[in-house]
Amino acid sequence: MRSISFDRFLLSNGLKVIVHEDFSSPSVVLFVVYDVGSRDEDPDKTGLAHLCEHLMFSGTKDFPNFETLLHQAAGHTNGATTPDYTEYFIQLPADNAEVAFWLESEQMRKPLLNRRNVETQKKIILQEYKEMLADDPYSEAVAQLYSLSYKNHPYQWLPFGKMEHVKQFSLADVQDFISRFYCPNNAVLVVAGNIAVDQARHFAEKWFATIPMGSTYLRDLPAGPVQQKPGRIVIEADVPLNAIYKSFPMPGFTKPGYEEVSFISSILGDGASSRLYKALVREKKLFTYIDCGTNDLFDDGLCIIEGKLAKNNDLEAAEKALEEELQKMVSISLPERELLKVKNNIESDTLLGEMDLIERATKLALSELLGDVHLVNTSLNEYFSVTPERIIEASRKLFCHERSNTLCVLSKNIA
Amino acid sequence: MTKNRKAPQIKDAINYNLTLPAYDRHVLSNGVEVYIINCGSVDAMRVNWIFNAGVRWQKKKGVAYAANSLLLSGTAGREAADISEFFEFYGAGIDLDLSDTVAFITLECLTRHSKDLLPGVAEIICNSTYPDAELQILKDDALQVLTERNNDKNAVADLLLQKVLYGQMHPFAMEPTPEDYLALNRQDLLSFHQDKYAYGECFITVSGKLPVDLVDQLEDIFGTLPLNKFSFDQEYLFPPLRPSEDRIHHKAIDRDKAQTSIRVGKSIALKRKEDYGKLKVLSFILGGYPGSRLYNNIREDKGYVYSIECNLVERGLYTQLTISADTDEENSLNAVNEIRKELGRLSKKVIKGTDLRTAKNLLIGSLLDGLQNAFNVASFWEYSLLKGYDDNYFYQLIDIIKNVTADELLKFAQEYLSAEDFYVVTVA
Repeated sequence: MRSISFDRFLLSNGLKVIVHEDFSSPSVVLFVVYDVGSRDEDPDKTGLAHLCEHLMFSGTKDFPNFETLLHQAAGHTNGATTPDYTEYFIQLPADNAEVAFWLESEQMRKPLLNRRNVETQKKIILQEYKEMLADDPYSEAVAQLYSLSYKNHPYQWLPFGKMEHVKQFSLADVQDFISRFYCPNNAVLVVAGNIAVDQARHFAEKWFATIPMGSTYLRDLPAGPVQQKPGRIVIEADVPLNAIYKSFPMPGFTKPGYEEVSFISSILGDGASSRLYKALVREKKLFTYIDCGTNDLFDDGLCIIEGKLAKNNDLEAAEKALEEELQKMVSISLPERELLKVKNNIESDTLLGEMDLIERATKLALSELLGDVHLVNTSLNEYFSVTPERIIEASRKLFCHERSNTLCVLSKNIA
Repeated sequence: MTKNRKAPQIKDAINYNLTLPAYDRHVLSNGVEVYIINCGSVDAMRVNWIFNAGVRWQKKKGVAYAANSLLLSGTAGREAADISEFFEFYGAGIDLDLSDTVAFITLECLTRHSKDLLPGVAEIICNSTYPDAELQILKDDALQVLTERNNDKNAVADLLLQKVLYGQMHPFAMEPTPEDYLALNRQDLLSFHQDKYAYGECFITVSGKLPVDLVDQLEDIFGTLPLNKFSFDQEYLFPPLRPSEDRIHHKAIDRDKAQTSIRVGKSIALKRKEDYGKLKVLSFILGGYPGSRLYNNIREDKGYVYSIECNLVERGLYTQLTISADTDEENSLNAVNEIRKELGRLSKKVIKGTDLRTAKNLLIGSLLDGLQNAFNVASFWEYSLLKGYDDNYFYQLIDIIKNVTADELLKFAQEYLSAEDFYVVTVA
């Protein structure tokens, strides 16, 4: 049975450290996740977490040439902001492992924040946003789906935030945000690869233990009232094809009931043999593309269906056919083979994904962030214990019309 | 940093000895060669069937693409839906791809499912039937994609660059038109399939943590098929290049969206085998990583772009160097000027010792990372075999990267990378 091995310890300043030894790898990865995401932003300062993530790569007070030093050590780095957390990693040859601890600790201790860097990164983010829109013209539609689906919760905005907010951010905004959230007691450090746990512990103590604790962040996010009637909006957009998006509230990532919905989304939308693809793309030719997935957010998740209509197809008829397929999840019994297919896919995705050291480090970090690092191994057991009866019951709860939200996107480019 | 903690010493990756895991070669009864890279700790594997079925072999435009894309569309025994169900039941991924010269069928799966899955791949190699209904779907999808691409500045910029580098009518610059797709018929595909797949030339690579009876499995399932040994030493003759006389090309397709896609490129005929290693180092320094010259200048210093990169792609006997970026229209001229400045710098000034050392370390480090993944190792061997290099090529390349001097790179840039020789394409 697949299992990711680890050791865990806590530094005196509250930094949680997880070590995963892999002596078959020539590399070491340091993966840091801070317990702050776009959900922690003020509603009139959206996009700040993402801007701060950009700025963490601008160097440190003592080492403005932070990335050059890392490159000299043959290392590379990257980061990402999600609604729930912000992650950074460094990967480099195992010989230079201590360099990673040094630089990552410098980044946590004293990031270089000045007006020039803030203004430059704001410009870069505006470019990033435009590139995202160019790559995926439906991305603004997805943002609207989120604001429809999460009425009171900060998940209603995405990590990019609103560009009019981003343009207004000042150095003081960034300094305030980083001092509130970027501290060791609000972080998890994973060390993975060709390094012994004792050596990792020694380096962690040496480089991170003297970083002062910050104040404790107590997350208190608004939870809206349970939706009582379905939401719906229709928009026009500069996209190639008409599209329908449907969202259904589901348990947060790894919370009770999450695995069942994960199964449902796989049965419905994973691959060309999935139910929605077979019925709506292949047989009825109502859609050219259809997908069903879960957004894996920590507080409250969404099961999202996205479909791009075949040209000249009637949106109403397509939506009706889609809803009929969803109702079949509730009303028709689940063949054992379909369940086994999902389990095979989960196993295959897990093993193939975990060939990558960064993937293993990520899973360890997120498990710890969710409250129990052992989830990295126990969660797979949860999947394999799901039964057809639990899936059908979960479908009944999931596909509740009153709690659904629908976004219809009408293309400006179709006559 | 406090006084008590001295910065750790940085060890140079260029001092590492990199080892490329070797392959085991086995020849099936029908002459098909199998290259086996058995390493890794995860019970997963990848099998790659590589056929002499690339674009160069088609007699009608679009045939090679359609014949490859529709390999999963039906066989004598299964419809498309059944084929999808077959592979997806096991959580396996099956991918199809095409280049100028070859076509790929790639299977990734858990090792324990290989016995169940390999016969499915044999079936599509031998018995694909290309149903008319599936061909029609491909045509409809292709027309839709072409429509979308005509409005996609990046796609338009990419194609325009190919046209100015190679010539409007050169195969490297010709994509199938809507009329070409509409003209495809089932018989075209069946003939191509018979010639290039069912009875075609093929070699196989297998990588990962492999079943102990792998060779027996491959022999039983593929050794009896009427496939032929892959000819590695075929020369690819293609028409002469007819590059544009103008170096600067601009096209406007959508003034409503104020973004400009920029491509700056050159097609280079390298004269010596060691030139590729030098080009790899120079293109890396120019734009191969965050911290490269283009990145530091045009993104971090001026904020004109989010992504900017420099890539090398081989087209026939040429190596094409392309710099790609998107920027606001108001900054596009400045961005192009800065790109040209950086190109010019390579030919005018010797690279500083520390900068060269850093780039070499990072390049070696990235190669080291790649070697820990069996699938990447297999990809490297496939590249080497297709180029006709001997088994020491990897070490020769590492040697060039480690030992090339700044003076040699300056001479190389003066020979091949003069800024005035580059073509500039902007699409607004």
